[in-house]
Amino acid sequence: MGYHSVAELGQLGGQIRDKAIDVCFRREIVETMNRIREVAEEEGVPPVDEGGPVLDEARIKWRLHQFYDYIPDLFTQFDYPDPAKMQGCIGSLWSVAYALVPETLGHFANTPLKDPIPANAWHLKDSVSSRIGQIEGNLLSYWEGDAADGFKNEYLDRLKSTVGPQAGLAAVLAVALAAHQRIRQTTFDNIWDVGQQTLAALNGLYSSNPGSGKVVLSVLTSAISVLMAIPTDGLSFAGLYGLGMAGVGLADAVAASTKLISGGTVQSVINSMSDRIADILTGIEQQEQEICDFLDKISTQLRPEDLTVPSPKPVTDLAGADVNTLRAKFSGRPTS
Amino acid sequence: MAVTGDALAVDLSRLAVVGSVALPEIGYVYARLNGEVAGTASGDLDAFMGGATPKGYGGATGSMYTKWSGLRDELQNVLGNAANGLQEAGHAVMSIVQTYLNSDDRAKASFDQKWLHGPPPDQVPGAEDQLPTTAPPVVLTR
Repeated sequence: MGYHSVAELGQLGGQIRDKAIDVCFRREIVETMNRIREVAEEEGVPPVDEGGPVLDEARIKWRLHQFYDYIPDLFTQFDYPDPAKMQGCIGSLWSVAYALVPETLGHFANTPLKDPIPANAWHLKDSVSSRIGQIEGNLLSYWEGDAADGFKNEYLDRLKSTVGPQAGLAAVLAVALAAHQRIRQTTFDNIWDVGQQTLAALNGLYSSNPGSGKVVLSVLTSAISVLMAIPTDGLSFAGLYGLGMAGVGLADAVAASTKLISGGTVQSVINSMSDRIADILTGIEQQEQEICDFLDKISTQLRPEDLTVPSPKPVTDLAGADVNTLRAKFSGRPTS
Repeated sequence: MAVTGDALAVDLSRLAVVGSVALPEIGYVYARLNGEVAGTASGDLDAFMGGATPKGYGGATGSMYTKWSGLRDELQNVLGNAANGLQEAGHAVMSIVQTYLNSDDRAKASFDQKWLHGPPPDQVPGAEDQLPTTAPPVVLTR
């Protein structure tokens, strides 16, 4: 299970094509000949007794290749990079959330995303909020005046209030990318499973009692399962989606993701396989849309003033001011 | 009556810690986090390319990439602007300190004595982390 290169996917598709051709030739020759004649008639190829080509083994297999040569492309269309390569970015975003608000880890302790913070994440012993608090509570406590008050209230206080939302946004981005990663991971798992079950179903056609194989299309619920793991408390707006998704009925969706690959003939098995691949493509689209909806929801909740650090204008306006101006606007403690 | 002399030097010492240590250190944190977020852009191709809906083009994957990278860029810029603002604020605060020192010889002498070996350790917040006060370059997306 896991990542499969385009070469491996193409090889799997090629095996299915070759198996389909072999079963057609060995077990379904009558049906195959009829099908070839029908196609030849549609194409205006004259029958043998009117000078048309003889349906020998080479020509039959040439026709069968025409019928099934598209199969490898059904698999190689999932030519995605290894989803594991996203882990570095996901880890970076978690690290940012963690550095800003070390308590971030605690929010995920009891969720399927528990311990998402990389082991080497940067851990500040004194958080940003704590450092700002030390400036306000100790280092600036003896300074007063309009500019000093503005520096504390309009700059430092607001700077402190943006830390949580910034950490929340970093966590949201990490979760969204993790959900996208899960889509890719499950896509590889599912397409590989579909291929293996198709081969098994085709092999079953050699016997007189063909069976069927089940595939669990986990891609159909891949992103939702990650997004729903977001805790509903603690992270400023990251919990919104979890609340909103509560009524979706994930259990029903999971149950509906179990599908069959079956059929009494090569063509019906291949049709069944094609349907499952179409299911995967639809699942990818729907799950990516879930992430879009999640990000849209976050965007609408996101107010620029929640995130954006204000300008340090109260003090930068004083740079270069004379001492009398400073005494009026940014002065030390008065003598008692 | 404004405070002067040794008492002013005490207040200016605290203010100088704000301007030369505390604000630049927080600015360093933001600049480093800005760089961390900016670095994720190098993974965009691995995350979003391939398949029927390559990065940024059509389909839900392309749409998801547009939305996700938009928010990512916003976070990157917010962190970068915060870093720049903190550095600017630090410089402005040090300018205030210097102006006061230039106006009061006794305060300046007392201050210089306190700062003979750099910032007084007992006044430096978060000293355990030992962060640099010179921040890495900020990366803004627009």
